[in-house]
Amino acid sequence: MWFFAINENELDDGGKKPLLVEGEKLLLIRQEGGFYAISNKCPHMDCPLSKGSLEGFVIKCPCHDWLFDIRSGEFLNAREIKVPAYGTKVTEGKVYVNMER
Amino acid sequence: MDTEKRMQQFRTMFQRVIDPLGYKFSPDTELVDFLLEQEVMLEKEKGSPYCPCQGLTGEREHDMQLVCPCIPFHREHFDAMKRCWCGLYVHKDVDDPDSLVQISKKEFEASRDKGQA
Repeated sequence: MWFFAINENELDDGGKKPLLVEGEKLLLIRQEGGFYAISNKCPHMDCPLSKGSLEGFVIKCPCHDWLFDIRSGEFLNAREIKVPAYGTKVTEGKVYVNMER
Repeated sequence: MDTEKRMQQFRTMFQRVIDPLGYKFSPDTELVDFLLEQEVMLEKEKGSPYCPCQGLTGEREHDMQLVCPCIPFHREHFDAMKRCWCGLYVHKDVDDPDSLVQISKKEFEASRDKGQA
């Protein structure tokens, strides 16, 4: 099911925004024109990824430097571990997140 | 937060990480309790639950790879032993952790390189 997240113009390219959607802590990221939504909790120790640094499509957890691909949610050192990733779409200037993974 | 409560949180959080990697907590519950307690102490002292059995250098890039569970950063080595360095985690098919042999990283790398030659 799709839920409204933000207006498209609220986030610049390379920007990230923590959101609460349907009770889930999400992190919305705009990168190279696309929007990516992942859980805002690192699967290691629940640290907020929104406070991490973003380089290309890789976000680094601020607590222990775990690296995740924002497109798939995969942890780069062990692909079996993933931060939940959600689909996004932009319709008429509004960004929506699909909460069904 | 008290030690027991934090140990329980570690169990829950770390279980999530080790399970998809094919590991479980060691069946040696006394060892598990001891090591988790050490990790709680390390977190209080140094800010993160570092592996109690490996030395820190003070260099972030190195030390972050020793935060428990450190399996993703030492996978090949640990898979060869079927356990992590401390023995806190073992492969899911291991029933008798005492039967596992600890192999130093140097030995492991030498034997791996020999096998590849």
